[in-house]
Amino acid sequence: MQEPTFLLLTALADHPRHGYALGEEVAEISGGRVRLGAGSLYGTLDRLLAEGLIRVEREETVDGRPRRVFALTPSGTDALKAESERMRAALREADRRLAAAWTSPAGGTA
Amino acid sequence: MTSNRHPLNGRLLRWALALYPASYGAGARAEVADHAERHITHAGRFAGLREVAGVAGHGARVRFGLTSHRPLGRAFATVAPLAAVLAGTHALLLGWMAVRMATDPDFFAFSDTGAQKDGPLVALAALVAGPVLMAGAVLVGRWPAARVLALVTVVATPLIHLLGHPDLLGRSADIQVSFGLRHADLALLVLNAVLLLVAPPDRTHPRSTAPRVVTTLVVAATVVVGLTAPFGENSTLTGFDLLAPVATGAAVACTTRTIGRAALATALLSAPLLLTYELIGGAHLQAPVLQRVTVLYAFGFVIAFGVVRLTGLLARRSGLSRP
Repeated sequence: MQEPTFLLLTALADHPRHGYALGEEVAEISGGRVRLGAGSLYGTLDRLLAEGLIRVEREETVDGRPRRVFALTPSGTDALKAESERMRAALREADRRLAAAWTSPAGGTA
Repeated sequence: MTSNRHPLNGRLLRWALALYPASYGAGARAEVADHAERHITHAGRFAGLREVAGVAGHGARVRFGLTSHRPLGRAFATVAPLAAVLAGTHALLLGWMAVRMATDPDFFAFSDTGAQKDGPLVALAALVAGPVLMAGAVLVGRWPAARVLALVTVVATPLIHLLGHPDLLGRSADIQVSFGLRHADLALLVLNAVLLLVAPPDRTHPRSTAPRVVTTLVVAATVVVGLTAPFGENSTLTGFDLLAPVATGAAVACTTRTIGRAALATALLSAPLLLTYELIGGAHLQAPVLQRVTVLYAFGFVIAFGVVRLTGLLARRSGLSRP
């Protein structure tokens, strides 16, 4: 799973959000590193909708601005959990190896 | 809102939004417009232009069915890194040949003055720099930079060609002033860059190492050609001619899961070559050349597809037999 996709699904994990709020949330989660423009954001959202990972929960108009509110589907939740577990496993392995390197004698193995 | 700060960006955004087809829905289009306008309002001139370009790209892809969840969009995403790498290595080969010609003391002995030699050489360097950098950006995963370089290649190549005329290609029959560069070479570079430009950005990140393998093989072939091929024998069978189709077939086999998708990716990948020969070259593609490329491509594809399938099968069996 690519990072923008992962970040978008993560942004929807706690509660549904509309497109602009999703863009802001992705920037916040990534520490400002990933900023999705409108083209990229809605291109990815269209794909996630087509793949059944998210759904349009409702459509509303606020201050004259139309917006769709997106939510995770059960498939999207499963995909996020699987990706999260995969990343967690990689992190655990990185921590284990770093700890082993710190505790082993200088110079390491041959 | 946008007209207060950057009126040009506001106008461009309206044109970009016009690219969305009616089937996308008025509400969805208004949502994209609102989002982009808010970004443009808070962004600088160039960041605003980038936002507009993103919206225009998305709108055009929606209109032409090239979004990442459509088969054609997926096929473009599959071939984009390969096309970029092929364009880059082809440009590298052209540059290498030109440098060899320029540094050969005998080659220009009967040609024009030094000024006429240097001008075309600079123009040629400018022509090949874009595709080479584009391939490099793809290989290190800098996709936004790769797309900018693809745009630069598409826009700058005809301009440099026009500005360089007649020294570079105007007398294309005169190899001393053109360094062997043909119109077909330029068209091939531009058309491959177009493939990357059109591909949906959210799927163009290669999941496999196939493009890197292609690069290694094709660059190796380029080096072999550069070191071994004597002048005037560019059209003979070279390492590049042999390895490029095999490596490309293997790469497509590694990046697609079904034969149908592979066939679509192959059609897209071969389009620049066929178009170049048919439209720009002004001559029909010679049947033996096409046969040779097809056989070599199929050879690479079948071997790699078999290896990928066999590896998957063995992995599944070992997974099942594990307690």
